[in-house]
Amino acid sequence: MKNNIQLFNRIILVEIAKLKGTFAFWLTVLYPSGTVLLVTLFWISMRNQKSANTGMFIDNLGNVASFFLPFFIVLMISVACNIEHKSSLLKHLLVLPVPRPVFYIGKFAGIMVFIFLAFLLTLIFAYASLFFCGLASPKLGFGADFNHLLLFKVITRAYFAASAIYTIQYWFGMKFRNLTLPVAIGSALIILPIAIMIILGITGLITKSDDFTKIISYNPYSYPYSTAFNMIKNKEVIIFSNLSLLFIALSAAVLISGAWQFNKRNIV
Amino acid sequence: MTDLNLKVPAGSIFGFLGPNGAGKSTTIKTLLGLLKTESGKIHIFGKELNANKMYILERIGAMVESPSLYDHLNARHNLEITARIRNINFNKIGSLLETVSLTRDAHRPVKQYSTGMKQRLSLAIALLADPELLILDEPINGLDPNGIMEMRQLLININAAKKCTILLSSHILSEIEKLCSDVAIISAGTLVFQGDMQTLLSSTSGKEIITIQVNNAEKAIKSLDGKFITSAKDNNLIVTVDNKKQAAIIIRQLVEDGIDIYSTERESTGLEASFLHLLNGKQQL
Repeated sequence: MKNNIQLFNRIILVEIAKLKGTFAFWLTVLYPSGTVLLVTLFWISMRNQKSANTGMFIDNLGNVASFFLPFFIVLMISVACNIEHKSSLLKHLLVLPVPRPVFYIGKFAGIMVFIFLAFLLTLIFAYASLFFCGLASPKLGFGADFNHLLLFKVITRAYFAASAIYTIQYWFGMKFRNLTLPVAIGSALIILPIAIMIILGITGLITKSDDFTKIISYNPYSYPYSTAFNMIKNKEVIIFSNLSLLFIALSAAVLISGAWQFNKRNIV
Repeated sequence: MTDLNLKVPAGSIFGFLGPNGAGKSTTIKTLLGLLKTESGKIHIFGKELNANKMYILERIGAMVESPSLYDHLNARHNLEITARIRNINFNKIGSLLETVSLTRDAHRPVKQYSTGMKQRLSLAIALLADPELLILDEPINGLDPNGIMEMRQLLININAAKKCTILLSSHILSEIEKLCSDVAIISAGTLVFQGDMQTLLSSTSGKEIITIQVNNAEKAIKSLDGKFITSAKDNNLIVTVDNKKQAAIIIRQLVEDGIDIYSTERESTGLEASFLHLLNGKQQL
C-alpha cells in the first residue's frame, strides 16, 4: 500500500513534468486569462457607469467562467490524454512496474493539478483585473467594499459543478486513441442541451424559465453554466447543491470504474 | 499461441523469429502483460505473470514495436520520466546517454531525432533499471544500414558489459544470424524450432533451397512423389536438395512428367535457408 502511494505521487510528478510546455499547459493559462480579459474589456467599456460595484464584476466573471469552463475541461483533458496515444506511449508506460489502476488515477490526479492551477489563475487574474479596472476608472467603484468570499465562492462553485466532466472526459480521452473523437463527444454534450433549449423555446414548448434550466441542469456537461443561470435567478451562491453532490459521487464512480476497465484492457 | 515455451539462456542474445503474422509481437506483448490471455498462464523467471507482475516487470526492460517517446521533450527529460517512475537516481542518465551515443543531442527535442536516434533512446530507457532481461520487439525496424550496424554493436556491447539477457524479435534474418547465440522460430503461434544458432544452421548445412516456377504445382509435387521436402505457393515449388546433382534429377523428373518449368532460383543459404526449410516443412501441401 505504501509503495502504491509512493508510485501514485511519482505518477503525478511525471504527469506535471510532461504536460509542461504542451498545448494542455497553455490552455490552462489561456482559459483563465481569456475569461477574465473578456469581463475586463466589458467593464472598461462601461467605465462611466456610476452604479457599478465589485459584486457585479464577480457575477459577470462567474457566469463567463461557468460558460467556458466545460469547453476548457473537454479540450484540456483530451489533449493531455492524447499525448500518450499519439506516440503509442501507453505500451511503454504499462511495461513499467506500476499497477494500472495506480497509473490511471495518478495520471488523472496530475491533470487535476493543472485544473487547480487554472482555478488559482482565475482568482489571481480576477484580482489583477479589478485592480486594473479600478485604476482605469475610479468611477466604477471597484476599489471599495470588495467581497473576497463572494469571488472565491463563485469560482469554486463553477469548478465543483464541473466535477463529473473531469472523470467522464478523462475516460473518453483514455479510451479513444485520436483527439477528435473525445473532443467531439465532449463538445456535443456541452452544446446539445443549449440547442434543445433553444429549439423548445422557439417552438413554444417551453415558456417557463425553470423548465429552461432543468434541461441543462441534469446533464453533467452543461451543469456548470446552469448554476450560473440559477444564480442570476436566486442571487445566491451555493457551492455544494444537491446536484453538485450527486455529480461529485458520479465523478468518483466513473473514475473507479474507469480504472477497473483500464486494468482489464488489452494495449495493442 | 499454443503451448509456447521459450527457454532463453541467461546471458544470451536470443532471436525470436517468425514470418509476418506468426505471433511474435503478440507473444512479446503477452509476456509483458499488455495483452491479456484468454486461457492459460504465463511464467517468467519461474513465476506466474499475473500474480507477480510487479516483481517480473521490475526485472525487465522493454521496447515494444516503434520507439515510444515524448516528442516535445528532450532525451534527458524522456529518461527522467522513466527514472522517476522506477525511482532511479537521475545521476545514471548521463552514463546511459553516453552508452547510446546521445550525450551531444541530449538537450534537443526528440521530434528532431532520426529513427536511429529514437531507437537508441528507447533502448537507453529500457536499460535504466539494469534489467536482467531486455525484451526488444523489432529493434532494427526502419533503420538504415548504418543504423542497423550501430544498433547491432550496441546490443553486443550491452550484452557483454551488463551481462544482460536479450530477447529480440526481428524479421531481418541476416542481423539475427550475426547477433544471436540462440534462436526460436514460431509460425502461426506455434514453436517450430528452439535451440542454439549452430544447431539450427547445421540442420540445413550443405543443403540448398531452390524455387522452381512451374505451370502446375500440384502435379509437380505428385511427380516428385514426396521424395523432397516441398511446398508450393502460386505455382512456385520450393524444394530442399543436398547437392546440385539432386537439383538436376528433380528438374529432369519434372520435364519427363510433362511439367513446364519457367524458372529456377537458388535461395540464400545460412539462417535464411534454415528458416525457409523449417517453415516450408510446416506448410507442406
